[in-house]
Amino acid sequence: MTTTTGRDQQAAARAEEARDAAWAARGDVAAFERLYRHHVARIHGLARRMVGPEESDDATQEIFIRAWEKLHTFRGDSAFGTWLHRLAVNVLLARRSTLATRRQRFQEDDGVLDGKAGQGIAHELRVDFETAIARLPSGAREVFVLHDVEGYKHEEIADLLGISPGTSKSQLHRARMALRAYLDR
Amino acid sequence: MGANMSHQWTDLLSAYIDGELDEPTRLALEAHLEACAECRETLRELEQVVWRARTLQDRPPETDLWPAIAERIRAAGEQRDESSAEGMAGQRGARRFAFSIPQLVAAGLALAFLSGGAVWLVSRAGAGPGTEGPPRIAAEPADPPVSTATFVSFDATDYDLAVADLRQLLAEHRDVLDSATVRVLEESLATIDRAIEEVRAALAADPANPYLNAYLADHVRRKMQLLRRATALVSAQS
Repeated sequence: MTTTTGRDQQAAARAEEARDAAWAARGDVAAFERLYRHHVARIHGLARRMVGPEESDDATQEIFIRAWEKLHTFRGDSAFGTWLHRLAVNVLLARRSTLATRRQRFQEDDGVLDGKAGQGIAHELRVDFETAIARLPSGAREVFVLHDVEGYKHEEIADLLGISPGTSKSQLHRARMALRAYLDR
Repeated sequence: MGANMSHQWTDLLSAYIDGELDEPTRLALEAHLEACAECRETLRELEQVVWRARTLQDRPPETDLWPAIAERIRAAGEQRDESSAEGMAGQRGARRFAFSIPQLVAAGLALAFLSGGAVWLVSRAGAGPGTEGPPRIAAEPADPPVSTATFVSFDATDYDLAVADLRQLLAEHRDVLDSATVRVLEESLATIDRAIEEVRAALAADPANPYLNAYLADHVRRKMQLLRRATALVSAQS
């Protein structure tokens, strides 16, 4: 249960971030660094799960640079973290291939995922749960991360990825089935 | 129960967990689960996967990415400044000049001198050597960049008068100067002025705040650079 004090603190923190965002939008790099320090763990986690650990540092840098460039579009209607997260998802998806190629990848992923779920990665005993997420085929990984980790709805994911909600649901189920083998790691 | 029949039910388990099945399908699946240990075990594992996903811990990158980000931001800013200057220069052919060039140059030089003085005062007060170049990328709490009394006492005097003179010149000659250039100059000045006014108000309440002083110094420097460019552009056309 959120207390009044807790809500006050949240409101104060949100107002402080909004002020920092306003300063940063006017070119204040120190204010932007404060925003970076506060949000980098979450953004890097998102990047690591969406594009894999090898690309996650580069992707995180790109996200914050894009945020710096787009700060003038932040109006404070939502929390800065929400705005940044949405921008991060867009940047990460933009790093991927075009919409048409993405659709093709979803089709191609089916066989790969079935194979891995049945016997492939399940036999790699040293792979932990996060690494297993990174090794999912890209289409299933994107859906799983957005839905189960980040809390997006299938309709939102469908819009973001250019697929149908039904495809999003089926990819999510396949990802979950594949990840069962890594629950104890 | 055959494998295909079991697979048919398994495919519904994620939707069941997410509460997306219609009532008849949900009831049928629950009846099946009562009788099928394999599907019950699969359901339990899928629920654990969902729980693990929701409880994953975020952690910062192993190496600090901020220095590289700050560097790229700074480089992009410099590139943008250069492009802006080139854009202004590119409008020279269509411009009609009726400025009093000596007046503009004098105002620009006065601003350069006064702003340079401000930067020097900031540097001397605590930012250390090298502050004359681009603004500091990050304010470090242990290294307050400016002495408040020094900067505020400067801020209220001749610098404002020099800026006002140049503003007046721009206003008086806007009918003979290229309108796009005047608009760009005035919008840029207004943006910087708003930031300076806000930080002055904040400094009135918290005059010892090193961050606010650094912010003020940064924007005074920006304003100086903008006016220098404007003056240089006009001089080049004379």
